[in-house]
Amino acid sequence: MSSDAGKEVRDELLRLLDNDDWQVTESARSTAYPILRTMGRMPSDGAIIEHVSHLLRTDFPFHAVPLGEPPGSAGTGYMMNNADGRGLYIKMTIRQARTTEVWVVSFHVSQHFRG
Amino acid sequence: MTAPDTQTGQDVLCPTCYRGHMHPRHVTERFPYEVDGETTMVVAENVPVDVCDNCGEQLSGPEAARIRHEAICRALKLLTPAEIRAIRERLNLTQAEFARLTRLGEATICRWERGRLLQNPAMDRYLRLMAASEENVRFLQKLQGPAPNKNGALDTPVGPDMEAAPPVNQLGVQPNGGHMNEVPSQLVEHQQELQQLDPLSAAAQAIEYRKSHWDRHVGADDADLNFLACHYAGAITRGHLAGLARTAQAQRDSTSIRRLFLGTMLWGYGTVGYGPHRTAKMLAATDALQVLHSTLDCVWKGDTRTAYERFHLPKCGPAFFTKFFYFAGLGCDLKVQPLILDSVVMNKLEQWLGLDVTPFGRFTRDKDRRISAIGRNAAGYERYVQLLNGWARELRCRADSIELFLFTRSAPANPAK
Repeated sequence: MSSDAGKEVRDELLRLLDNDDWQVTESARSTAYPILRTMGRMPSDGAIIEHVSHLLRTDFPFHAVPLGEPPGSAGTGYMMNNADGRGLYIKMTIRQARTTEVWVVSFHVSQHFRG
Repeated sequence: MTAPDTQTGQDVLCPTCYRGHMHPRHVTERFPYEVDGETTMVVAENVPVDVCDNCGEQLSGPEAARIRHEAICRALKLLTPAEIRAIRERLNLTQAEFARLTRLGEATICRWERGRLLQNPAMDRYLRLMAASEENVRFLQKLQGPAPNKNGALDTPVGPDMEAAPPVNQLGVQPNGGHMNEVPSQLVEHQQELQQLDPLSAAAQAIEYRKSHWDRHVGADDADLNFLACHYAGAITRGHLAGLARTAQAQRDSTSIRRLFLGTMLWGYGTVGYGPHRTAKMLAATDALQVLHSTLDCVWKGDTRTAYERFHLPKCGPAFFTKFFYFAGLGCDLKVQPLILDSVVMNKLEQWLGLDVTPFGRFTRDKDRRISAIGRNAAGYERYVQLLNGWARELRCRADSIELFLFTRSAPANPAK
């Protein structure tokens, strides 16, 4: 795993999220709603995006990871580990599909988290 | 920097299985939505999604989010983003003006109107009250107080539900015959002692703790616990915590804020057996750091009441989180100092000073009618803080000197039943 993915990527992710250029996978949505509820939030897709934006704005560290098999064949992902002190794992990627978008691929409690 | 797919247009690779491709569809979704323990079924129609032809994964964006958001609003009978915007626009207010009037955050209003966040049912009712009558709006305008100064900040922060907290000078006649805002004679008699009392001195209230007990629950490898044990070995004082608060206020980072909270709990529980267990539960909450950050922001802005309303961590009641507010307040120069409100101080107010303490909140009493636990009451806490700060101004002493002085008084042997 590389070190922090850098300010440039962070700024780009924030810009895309703020501009509503984002998508969320159903897997991430289904696991995010209960997590947001435990944070005292009213869960919604927007709340997922707000939470990710908040972490990015507050300089929460994130790392670049190669996606796909073989690694890198599906581009680069950006992950945040233990984003809430209880193992919250978030993975995003920037995709050039119809337009350039951030895709939130994962938003769940890591099975590997040991507290 | 970006990682473009080799595919474009319709030929988008699935981000989950990396094998299938995504195809656009419109679907009807039915999902349960829980609020305050009640589950409501939400139906969102015509939601645009992309579906993977290999694993079934779906992708959806802002338009799908908007449809789901409005479906949730309809199912829960909450105002939709457009309705919230309409309320504000009917009042002819900008988001900033609306925020100032309601004391809601401007960013929060923006997120509600944009459909990024859902207002909770309590906030929804607040908004509906504003829409219901002009009188309600005029009332808020009256509470709004002075116009902003040149920097755009209010000189006197006033909360939206301030009406629940009448000024101290309207609290009425006390059992001891005086008005509550009058400094009790017992304190006047000890004015010199109060002026000389320094709660932050090393001798004032050093609380011992056993690190080994805290290791078992908070963790022997907890960096913040080890930091505290290293710097304040065996005992911690109000002065130590004031130092931690100054650091937290200056740095505003999670480490210094967590240290201040953990230090406060060390001081608050000392050698009490269940203290480390409870503290570990508080810190294990998913949103613990978020709660600590958010409430300290309020304390440092002088808005202790909002801090009180926002502070929710498991196993942490007012007796302990008001200690946290008190120490946080020592990190900066506040006109009104937040203070500790626990059952010990409350019993002294009632028994030693003879005050009617009902304006300060709801209490649990033991068989001897002594207050044994304090229920949540933001307005009551605000009254208490205002009262003691008012007395402190009259006596020309620190407000926390009065709290410490009361804490150290001996209670009467037979409290009034």
